[in-house]
Amino acid sequence: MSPVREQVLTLLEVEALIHKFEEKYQVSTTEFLTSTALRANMLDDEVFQWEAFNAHRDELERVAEGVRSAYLGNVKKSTDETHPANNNLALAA
Amino acid sequence: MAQLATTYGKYRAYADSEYDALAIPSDCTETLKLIFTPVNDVAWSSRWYLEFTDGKYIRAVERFQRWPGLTGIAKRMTVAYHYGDIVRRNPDDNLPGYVSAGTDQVDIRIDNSCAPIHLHYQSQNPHISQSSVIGLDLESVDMFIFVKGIFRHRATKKPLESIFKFKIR
Repeated sequence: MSPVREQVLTLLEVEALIHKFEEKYQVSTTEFLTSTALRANMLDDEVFQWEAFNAHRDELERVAEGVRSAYLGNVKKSTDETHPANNNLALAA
Repeated sequence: MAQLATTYGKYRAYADSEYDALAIPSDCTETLKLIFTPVNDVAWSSRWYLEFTDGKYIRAVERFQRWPGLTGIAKRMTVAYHYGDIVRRNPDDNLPGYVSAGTDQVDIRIDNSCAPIHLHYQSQNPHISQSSVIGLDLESVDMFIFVKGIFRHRATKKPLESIFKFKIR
């Protein structure tokens, strides 16, 4: 087993970490991302982590949206068909 | 194997192999062991801190994200490799801290904060752009190349420009 560590964060966990930075600096993530002056005076590692958590959240939301779209596409396809049982299969997926 | 475009699986295999082979000097402690935070195969970040008994430290952080327009490929979007004196600590985690708007001491630093990848050498300013760095492709440096270079510099006392084979125009 590799000694290199790995942490997997859920959307809720990432949002909590982002919220912690927003509370600490009393600015929104949008303000953080657009304020060069604020970022220049923060600890570099906190800038990195805040950006990384924000990108992490974006990617999780992107993946969730992809799953949602695929699911809805499947449901729509099923309703177009004559077998109502297909809806139940899609909902169960 | 610095990689501009890769996947998490490939990069982790490379990192595991490099880390396993790494000989950490006796005067060095990992105050934050290398840790990866993956989202999936095209998005992840990593942080790593090493401190030396003479008051210097290395910080290596990277963030990769989905390469727009290329399916299944990640690109290194954020990078900072830093070696220098510990001038302050973050009270939240006690790790060494660096402020880019300050006058923090730097031995060598490669980063792409607020600008395309560039070098800081022996001081925080100026930011030395790639066009003024001869002999070293800054994008080709990864965390293991950087950390091993610092270890070699400390062991041999050779100047960093000799270790990393660059000259500044």
